[in-house]
Amino acid sequence: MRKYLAFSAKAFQRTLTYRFELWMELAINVLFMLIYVYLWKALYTDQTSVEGYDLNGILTYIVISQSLLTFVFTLRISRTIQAKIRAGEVATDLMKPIDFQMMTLATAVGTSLHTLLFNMLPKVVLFYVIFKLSLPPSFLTAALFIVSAVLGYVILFGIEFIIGVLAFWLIEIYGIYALVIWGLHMLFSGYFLPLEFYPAFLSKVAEVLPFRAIIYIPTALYTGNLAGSDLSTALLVQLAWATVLMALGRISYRAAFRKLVVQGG
Amino acid sequence: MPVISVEHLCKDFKVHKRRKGFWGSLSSTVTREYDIIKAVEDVNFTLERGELVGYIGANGAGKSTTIKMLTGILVPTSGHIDVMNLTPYLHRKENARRIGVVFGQRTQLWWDLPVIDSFELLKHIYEIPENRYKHNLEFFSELLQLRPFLCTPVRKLSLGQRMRCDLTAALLHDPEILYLDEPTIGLDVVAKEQVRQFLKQINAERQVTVILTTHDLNDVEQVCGRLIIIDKGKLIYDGGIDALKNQYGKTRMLIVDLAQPYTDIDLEAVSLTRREENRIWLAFDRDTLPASEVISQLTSRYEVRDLTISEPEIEEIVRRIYKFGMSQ
Repeated sequence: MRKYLAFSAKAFQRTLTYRFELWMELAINVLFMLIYVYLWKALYTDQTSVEGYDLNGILTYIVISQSLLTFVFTLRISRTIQAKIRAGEVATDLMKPIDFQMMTLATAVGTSLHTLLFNMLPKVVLFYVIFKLSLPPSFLTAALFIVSAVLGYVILFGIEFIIGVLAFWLIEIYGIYALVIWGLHMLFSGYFLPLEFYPAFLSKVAEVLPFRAIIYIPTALYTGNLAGSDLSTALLVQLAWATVLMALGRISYRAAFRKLVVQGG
Repeated sequence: MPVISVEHLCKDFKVHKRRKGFWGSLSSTVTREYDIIKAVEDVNFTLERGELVGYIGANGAGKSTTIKMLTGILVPTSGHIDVMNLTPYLHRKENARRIGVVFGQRTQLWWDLPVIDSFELLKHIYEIPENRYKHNLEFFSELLQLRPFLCTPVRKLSLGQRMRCDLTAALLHDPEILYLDEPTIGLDVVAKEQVRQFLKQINAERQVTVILTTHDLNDVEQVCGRLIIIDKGKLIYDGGIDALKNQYGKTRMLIVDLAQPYTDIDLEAVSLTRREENRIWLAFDRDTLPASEVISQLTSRYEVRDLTISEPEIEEIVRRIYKFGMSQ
């Protein structure tokens, strides 16, 4: 465990090296969030409540979901793995007494911790101050939100890791990455609007996919729209997806390793 | 009990055959054909603890493939590998704990961080006890003069400095075996010499078994006691360097500056291999013909200004082996 924490610490430290890039990222994020907030304000001028979200509720949803989305942008795990495979650098990792999946996760966590502290938290605080957003209904909800957000993170990592490992076979994975992350994830994660707003058949499709567990579940939980037995089911679904995806990642990585051909040399 | 034993080791690669042109590419996406490349073919050798072995061969001979199988990151197609009583690809992590690896062409240090941070990370990865880590860091910093740049980010180091750091990184956890894949590539003469002296020293003092692949045969000549040559995947020589010279380097060369450009050079059992104005190169067999006899024949018939004898160099011998095989 200690060695993986060391990986997180180093990844965190490394992210600090390129500060300018991070400020730019934050500025762009804030701009987009402002666009979304004013869009929803305009849409709600003649409405008081849609599918259980009042104006304050939908703005809170947007700010939280947009903030969680930042992990998707900064994680970049699949591309990191692909680059390592391409350059043959993966050989150096494999020649160490470490677990490749855990090392990758630890590195991702270090990078994401930086995202959380220097990008997500400032954004959320800023929007709370400007738009007087609502807080979670109870302390328990807030605590469960953290659990749910962590599970969502693990699910996102699990998916990205599997896509990255596919590069052992495919070399080029951008097509799959774009399809899954920019296509399916964007449509079914609920980052753009709550999944309740979708027509029935799309909601049904979303139910059987892991993507809603990344952003929608923690966010709807935070705003109080996901409660009671639905909430406990949702948390169990998250736990199940996290376990399955991590296990699948491990299996595919083992399979990849068995037929590994390190590029070059 | 050998540290490494390799028996009938083979590795085949399947290479996807791509067809030419538009229709070729199109049909390649539907039906696939493969060529089988035998990268390593029936290689056998054993290494005892503390040996320092040069593993050489032309580009694509199968050196790196062998090293990857020994380190456990490539699975053999067939054959048997035993490294410190482990099968590397089945026990990758246990094996990794006890070996050190240096690739001349890439670094294992974290590019953006100061050197010392990479060392600290390695301390955790290998779970090196604190006092052992401090002792080793001290030892290598002294020996390789790392102190001036321990706090410099790796991307700002010169190649020579980076290589010294990579060597340290590979040795901090007291590995029993050190694999070096072209560690002197791109280094200047002084840096090369430093690396060679260092390898000799840690091999002698710490009893580290060293396998060194290289294209620079001076590395091998100065550092290694034993030489393994691999060509097109097959092991073609395994033995001492002197033995190789005796066996394949029998031909000596006499370089003569004549007073005038004689055209009738004809000496018994000596062949004229090259001529440049008044200078000629004469090859003869060391075992059957003493140099003194060639010289006395020569000076009795022609007017000689100057002459030198050159012994066969390992470089020349190996070049001939790559080109013509062992039979010559």
